[in-house]
Amino acid sequence: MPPDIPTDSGFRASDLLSLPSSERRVLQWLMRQGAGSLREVADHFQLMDEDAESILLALEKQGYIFAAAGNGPKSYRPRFGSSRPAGAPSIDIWSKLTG
Amino acid sequence: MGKIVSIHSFRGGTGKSNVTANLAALLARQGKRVGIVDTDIQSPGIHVLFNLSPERFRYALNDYLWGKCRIEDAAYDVSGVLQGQCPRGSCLYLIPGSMRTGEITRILRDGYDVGLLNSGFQELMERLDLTHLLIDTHPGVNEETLLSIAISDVLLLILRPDQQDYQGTAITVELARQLEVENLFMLINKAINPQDFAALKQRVESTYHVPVLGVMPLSGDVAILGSGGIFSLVNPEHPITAVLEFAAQQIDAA
Repeated sequence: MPPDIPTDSGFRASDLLSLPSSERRVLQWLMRQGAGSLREVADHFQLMDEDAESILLALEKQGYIFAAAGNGPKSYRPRFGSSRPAGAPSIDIWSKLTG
Repeated sequence: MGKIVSIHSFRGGTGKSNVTANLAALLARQGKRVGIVDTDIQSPGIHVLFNLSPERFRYALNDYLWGKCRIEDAAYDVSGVLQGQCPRGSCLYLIPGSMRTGEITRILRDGYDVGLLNSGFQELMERLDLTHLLIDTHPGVNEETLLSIAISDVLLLILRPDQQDYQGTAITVELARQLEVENLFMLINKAINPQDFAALKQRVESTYHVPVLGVMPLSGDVAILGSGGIFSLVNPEHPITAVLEFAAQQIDAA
């Protein structure tokens, strides 16, 4: 089972379509691999370390990946959002109605 | 690592599940280790082709998505349909969608953890040592479809020679290109005029710039079988079977 992560964050598959191609490719690769380190990302995409790092940081900042804690190098994992029922009102709307 | 193959159509009724079941069976008969996931959670049905009745499956994909079981617990060995016509080591598994009304509506109402669906695909391939995982998708464009396309090595689009299918397929092709799917193919089903098949294939290929693996006719023989089995196994000498065999070979070679 994946680590317990907040369900109101993360990306939806449709978010992939609005990412710059460099970020999208890395995120798609992490989806397929499950996880990857900075070194693995740099090697796979033949990037300089600083370029790979800046892509990972951008994805992390958007909440689309997270760095899993461990003894070795940081391992980045995709942070998926929950599928949301179509047309479901947000919690915020309900609280406004009942409040 | 095995291949993930998504089979999709923009509209319903194209024969997508039928094609998926046939390709899976033909790949297994060639000695491959094949799994099928019915991600058409809103309207599951591929289990019928494998004669797997809902009473016989304790767990479905829905149960895995709600944390009630491991993904492999919802995988059923359906290699019985091959009737022994498969090399040693091959296998054929199906992960069905739930046929319980309450469970289908629960998915619509509550949603689910998409990350679990993605990790389920990867775990399934690893734990069952699959060479091919075929994803039978829900028609149209939704989050599950986009997820499947995004992680696929191969995307096969099924369409009919129909103006609505043509327009819808253009959308899916555009999405697949944006997501840079490595191997994109099409298969035309329910075509009417056999004299026109070669020209139809050429027209579709030149319009979408996507290889068409074959053209299958609207067939009374398929209708007579009525999802009561895997067409290519029941009719090994049929021209439709030849098209499906070619498609399976191309997908395997991709």
